[in-house]
Amino acid sequence: MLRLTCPHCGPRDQVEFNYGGDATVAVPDLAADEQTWFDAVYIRENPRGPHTEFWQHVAGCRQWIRIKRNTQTHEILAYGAATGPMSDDPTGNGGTDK
Amino acid sequence: MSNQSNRLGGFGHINRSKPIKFSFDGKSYMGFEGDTLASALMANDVKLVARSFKYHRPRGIFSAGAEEPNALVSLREGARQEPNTRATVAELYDGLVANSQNRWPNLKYDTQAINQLIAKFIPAGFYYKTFMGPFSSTKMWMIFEGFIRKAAGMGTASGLADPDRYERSQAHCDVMVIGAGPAGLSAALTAAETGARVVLVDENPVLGGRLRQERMEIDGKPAYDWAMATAASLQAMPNVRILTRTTAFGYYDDNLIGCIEKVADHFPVPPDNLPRQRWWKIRAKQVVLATGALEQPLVFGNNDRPGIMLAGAVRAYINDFGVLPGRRAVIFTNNDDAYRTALDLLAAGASVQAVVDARSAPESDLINAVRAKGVEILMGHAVTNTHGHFALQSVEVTPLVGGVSRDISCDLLAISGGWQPALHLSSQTGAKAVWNPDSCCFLPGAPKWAERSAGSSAGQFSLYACLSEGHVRGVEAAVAAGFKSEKSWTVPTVEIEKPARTEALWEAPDAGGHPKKFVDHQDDVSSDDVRLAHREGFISVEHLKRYTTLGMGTDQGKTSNITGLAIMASLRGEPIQAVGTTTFRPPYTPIAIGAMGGSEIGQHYRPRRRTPMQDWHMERAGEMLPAGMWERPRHYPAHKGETLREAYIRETAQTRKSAGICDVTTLGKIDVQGPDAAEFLNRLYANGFAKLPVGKARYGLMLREDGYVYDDGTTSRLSENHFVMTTTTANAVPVMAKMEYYLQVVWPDLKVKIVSVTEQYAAIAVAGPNSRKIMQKIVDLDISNEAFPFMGCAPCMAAGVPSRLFRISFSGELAFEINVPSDYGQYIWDALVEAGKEFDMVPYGLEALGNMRIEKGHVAGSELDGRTTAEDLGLGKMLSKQKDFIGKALAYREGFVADPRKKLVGLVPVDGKSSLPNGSQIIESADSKPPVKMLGHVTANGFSPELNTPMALALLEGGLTHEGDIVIVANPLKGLSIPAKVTNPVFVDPEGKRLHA
Amino acid sequence: MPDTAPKIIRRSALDGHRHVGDFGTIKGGVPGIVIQERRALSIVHLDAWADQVVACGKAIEKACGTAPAADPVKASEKNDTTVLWVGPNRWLIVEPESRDLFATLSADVTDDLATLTDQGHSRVCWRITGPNMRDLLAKGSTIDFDQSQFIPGDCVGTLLSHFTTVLHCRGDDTVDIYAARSFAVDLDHWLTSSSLEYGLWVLEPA
Ligand SMILES: [Zn+2]
Repeated sequence: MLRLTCPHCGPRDQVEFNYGGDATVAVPDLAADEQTWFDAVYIRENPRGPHTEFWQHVAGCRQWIRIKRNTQTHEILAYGAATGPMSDDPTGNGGTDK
Repeated sequence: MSNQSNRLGGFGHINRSKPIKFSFDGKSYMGFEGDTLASALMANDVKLVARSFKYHRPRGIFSAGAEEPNALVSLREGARQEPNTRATVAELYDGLVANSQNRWPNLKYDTQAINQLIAKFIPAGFYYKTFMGPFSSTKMWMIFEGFIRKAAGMGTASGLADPDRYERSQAHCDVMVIGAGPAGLSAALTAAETGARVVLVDENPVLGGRLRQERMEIDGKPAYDWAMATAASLQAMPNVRILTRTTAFGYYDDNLIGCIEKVADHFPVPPDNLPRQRWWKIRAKQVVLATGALEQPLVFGNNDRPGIMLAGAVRAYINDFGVLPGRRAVIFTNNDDAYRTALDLLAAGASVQAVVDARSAPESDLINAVRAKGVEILMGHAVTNTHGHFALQSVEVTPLVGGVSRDISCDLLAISGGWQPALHLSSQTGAKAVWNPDSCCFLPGAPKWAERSAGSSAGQFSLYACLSEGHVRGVEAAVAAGFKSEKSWTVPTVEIEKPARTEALWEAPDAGGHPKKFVDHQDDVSSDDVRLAHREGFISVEHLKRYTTLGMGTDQGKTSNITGLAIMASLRGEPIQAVGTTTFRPPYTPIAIGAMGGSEIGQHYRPRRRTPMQDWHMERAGEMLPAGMWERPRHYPAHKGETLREAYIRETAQTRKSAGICDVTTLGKIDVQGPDAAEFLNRLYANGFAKLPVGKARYGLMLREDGYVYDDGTTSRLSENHFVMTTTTANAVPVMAKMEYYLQVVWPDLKVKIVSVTEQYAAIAVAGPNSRKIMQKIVDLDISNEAFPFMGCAPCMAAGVPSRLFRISFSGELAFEINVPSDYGQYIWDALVEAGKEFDMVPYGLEALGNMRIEKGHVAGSELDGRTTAEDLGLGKMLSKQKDFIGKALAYREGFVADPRKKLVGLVPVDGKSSLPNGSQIIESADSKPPVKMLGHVTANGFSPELNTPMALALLEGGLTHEGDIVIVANPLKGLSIPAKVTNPVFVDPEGKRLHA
Repeated sequence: MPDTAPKIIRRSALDGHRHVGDFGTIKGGVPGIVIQERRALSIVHLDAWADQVVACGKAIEKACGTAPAADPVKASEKNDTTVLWVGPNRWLIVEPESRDLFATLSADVTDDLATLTDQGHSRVCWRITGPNMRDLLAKGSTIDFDQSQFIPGDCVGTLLSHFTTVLHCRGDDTVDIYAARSFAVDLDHWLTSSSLEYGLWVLEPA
């Protein structure tokens, strides 16, 4: 079972999180056209290797976070809050929101 | 009662002051505390303990540990009966009851042993071939299956619910050491001395591992003393947690180790409220694998008779349990280690008839020591056959290069094919095992996670190496976990050995005749089966395993995989490394399903949510129905004989006639606050919310990003910047998560805060023409139609409690919904029930709730199935043209607007009587010939007391363009074919007058 | 309202389901676990605007005597008031019901600082004390409960068994567990049955 680092709460077991999908796809502007939305909703890479994805810490702070995970080895490479830069200290002891 | 004739004085660590009574196959025996079932049986000279899986051959005890392939018994009785338990790891307790299995009528006279005579007709792949060949019909398999399952098999389960409690627990540590033999003890001690938090687990009840089973010395004293002293030091350290009787069975991502602690397996019934077993999940920063090694057998003719045993196991029985496995022994080996067995047997008073060594001319101190005792050593020889039936009587010994066979009489054959590191956990991480030709075994591969192996699990078989490597790896792990090693450590004084090289002998030759040579004892797989697999093209190890079942037993091939793949490698003419191993998967040893379930079983399988009025419902409801994690009342029978159908029709009728009350707490409620709250809701909902006045509620429709309908509910504006939103019961949790996603990820600039208030408020709906009179009795607000019109909302005091009142309706009647702080829910409910008495107000359950919404053509979960558009549900007009919202961009795609789509309609049976079951298909004509075109399906059905007819909602191709048409509602599963008329989905009060009354 | 109105009854989610007494294997007369429900709490959920966190903290301090702890995953306490961290810039302010906490807070924590939501009926709170408190929690959550890791003042949101909870460590062997009201009966069953091996006292609610 993975150990994911919540940037707000610190490292926690996977059971506390819900998977939230591909974090490399941006939600388009609401006014964007059909094709833009179609691509955002349906078109996905399926990389073998490093991949940034959303998780939500549902059992903890309820924040959406980003985790960079190697889909082949399950190695956690980086973590970050919903937006902004990500930390590349995969096992960061967290607890720092600053 | 037997007298433990094989018990040795002066040997073993059993507690002779605690005699223990047990039974095997109905006969009573005595053993001692500290015995396993196997050692106690051996003490009582019970040699035959099992029949083999396929051929029902007599089998005895083969090993002294977790790897046991033969001695599988059924332990305990009644609901606690535990089939396929390895006698070698079952701790003896007073009153233990064990029975042999896979025999009928009993072990000695097993009628199925006839299978041996037809063995050549049931080779590997027998089932596949037979039942995919001439007898391939399902019917044939069904006929034969019963016989085969009975004949080839394991023990049987009791079929009763397990009465014991199982639990889970978790722990964290800096260094986890798995295995408490010399390497593990040494690693744990040195890691702990750095201050690191250490968890040490061992599958045995007492620490020491192999040190308990050998006559070795450390610092001039018995190695056992060192083990006990080290264990005591560890126990005294506050930073060390020791888990005995605990098997680390799985190595998972991010250094999570799964363990099973057998908390109370050594009691007849778990005492003191203890769980029977505990499933530990241990998250370790660093891991030291000191799991030891498993001795491998040798493959030769009739190598499975009772009395043939691993050489190391013989030493374990003598030195740990004080039991002599045989009096006249022959040793058969390809390595030096088995010579220890000769010495220990001699020390215990047995005679050693010969040591048969497959190597040509090895020389070492150990060999010389045995030779000095006058034991005959037959170099370059092999055991080629054995004799005896229920017990070994003699072995046939043959020179490997030329010469004549001879028989040697014996009652014990101790065999050793060398030691294979127990690299299961390391391999489970994906570390690829590496073949080491020098010691003829696989070594752990390069680590994938933060682990390292020490001692014999790393192929370091000498005591000195185990102690010193354990120390080195323990320090290494602690340092890697961030600790400093300050204390110097010297390896205790032990004898340095220089053993002669192990030489592979994967299969002894035949010396006349062609006896069966078992590779896998548990699955009755012989070397001929491996050859057959090779001949037929199943040459990869994974195919070999599945074709022959090699290594597929409960022992997972601990004493057979290596030999099997080595034989395959030689058949293929390839090096062993090229052939490789099969994939190692958890669990290392079998574990009980109960332990995986823990305490989350039965009604606690998943959490159940209760509304504040749950007790009231449970007292009165005919049945509670799961709704998400909630359980909701289905109906409230008026009297004992009232059926569900009668009840819900009565509840519907009475609500529409006078009044009904319903607990709607389970709907999701979300508080939305902030200057941008209206803007946020405007983006979420397909219809407009920006202009919703304060004090008003509005029905909202939400789409998914892909344009399909997602959820609906009413949202009310409590003040300029404060809304409270409702969701369906089913979508409360996902809708909340999705809203958080939009706020945190997509639109972080919006000044909006949301929080679930589902738990804060009890929600009660009162519906029906008299609902106003009832509600008015408890609220301090003027709720006349003028003062509080349809879709109004306002704070109020209800019976002295601050509440929120909404004039919203799901039933289509004049209705109110009141939200009160949850702890007052029952109080307000009681007040309303009291107020409703004079109007004969009824409580109504899910069934009537659903029925009334069908009468009104309101869509719910069965129509919001993720495949319907707003237009399909008659809600197309709600999609705002004035603004952008989630799902809009994809809601007008080609397939969404192309007709004919399936759209919401009503159905009534032509005969006015037949109900139209959910899920029924709609077809054009009852006479249609297959393939029948399916025009749609029934999504919900009920009975309208007002129209006095069954009715249904359906999704029908073309929708209301078919209004007035007669279609067939077909339900082949129920044998129904009912003519029904297509109607408008709103059956009752289509103008909606009652809502505004 | 007529004078004959019945007495207002505030009913906790555990009322009618609580079994007060001694249970399980109590060794030497000393229970490993003591469980007591903390009943009738005022709880306000407070969500500060990101650019107003400092001002909001001061306003909370004015109303309650204590500002939120400076760090996440921490609680602060003053007299009877506890401020629990439940997410970035989010706190639950908890008091035994004695004053109108929501109104008191609203006066100081204005709209421009944070949003406030009454949650006084949404949670159930158990106070667990005893030498086996950490063993009990370890049965349910993957948090590290070692004395060196889970220390007084810590306030973690976590999954306990299959229940979402907030655990507020109040001492070496004391923790307050907050959980959603609707799960109270099931979680109470888990807590009590998991405590039997240590010996359990269930006290009347505080
Ligand atoms: Zn978190």
